[in-house]
Amino acid sequence: MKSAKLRLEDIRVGDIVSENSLSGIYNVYITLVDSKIVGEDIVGRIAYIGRDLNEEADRAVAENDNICAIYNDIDEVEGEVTYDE
Amino acid sequence: MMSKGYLISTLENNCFYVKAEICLHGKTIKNRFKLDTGCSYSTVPYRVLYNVSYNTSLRYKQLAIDSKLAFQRSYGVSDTDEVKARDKNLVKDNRLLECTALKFTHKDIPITLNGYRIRHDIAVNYDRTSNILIGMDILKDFDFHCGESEWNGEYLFLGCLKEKINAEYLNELHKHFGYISPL
Repeated sequence: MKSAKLRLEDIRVGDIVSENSLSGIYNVYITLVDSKIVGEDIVGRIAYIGRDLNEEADRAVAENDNICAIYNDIDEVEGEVTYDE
Repeated sequence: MMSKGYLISTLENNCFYVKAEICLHGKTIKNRFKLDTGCSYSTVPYRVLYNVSYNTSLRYKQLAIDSKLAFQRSYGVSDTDEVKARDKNLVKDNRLLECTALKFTHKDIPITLNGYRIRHDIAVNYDRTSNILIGMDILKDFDFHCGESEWNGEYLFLGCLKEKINAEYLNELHKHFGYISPL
């Protein structure tokens, strides 16, 4: 399993990764499937990587279960935007 | 995963996050939810929960409409009176698919928050992409305490369903906040 902080160029569909290892990848939709909560982290297999959500992203969800949807918004991380819900 | 007798979360970037597991529309989802005591009704944005396209999200919204799930309009502090008036008219005209403020109530959904299992109604919005929030509609059923732990110095949320107060939870209250158990 890949667990250190990963860059976008480090990951491929099919890789087993943890959610925390993807925390440095911003503004990219990454969908993990067959995921499990392991301690403070979620571990799963990458089924989709993309800059937008399209039919391929839909298929990754439709054909799998135990979904972990990841999107790290750079503006939120840098404090440029906050949410006031 | 072994179920715990209490819910605990450490403050991170001024937020209490929990690792959550929830089953909706036949899929099990694992994701990070935010505990928000300023949120009246828990909000689950479907698109954020699943990473699906807007078209797919709208298909599920239509399913929720067809299933006659109860719904309510929901806004953040930035929403304008104009938006609210427009949405009110959309609902009156039964143009529910066009009203992006609607959240639909899914009844009695099993949810696991940082290993702590509960069942609760969950409201799902199919249009927005805001944070996934656990609000006071759920947290009001908890006995919970926030503060700096005497044990590890971290700023914690520590809680337990009021109807399920147990020795494990009381021990944690004592450990972190020095509260003496009345039991």
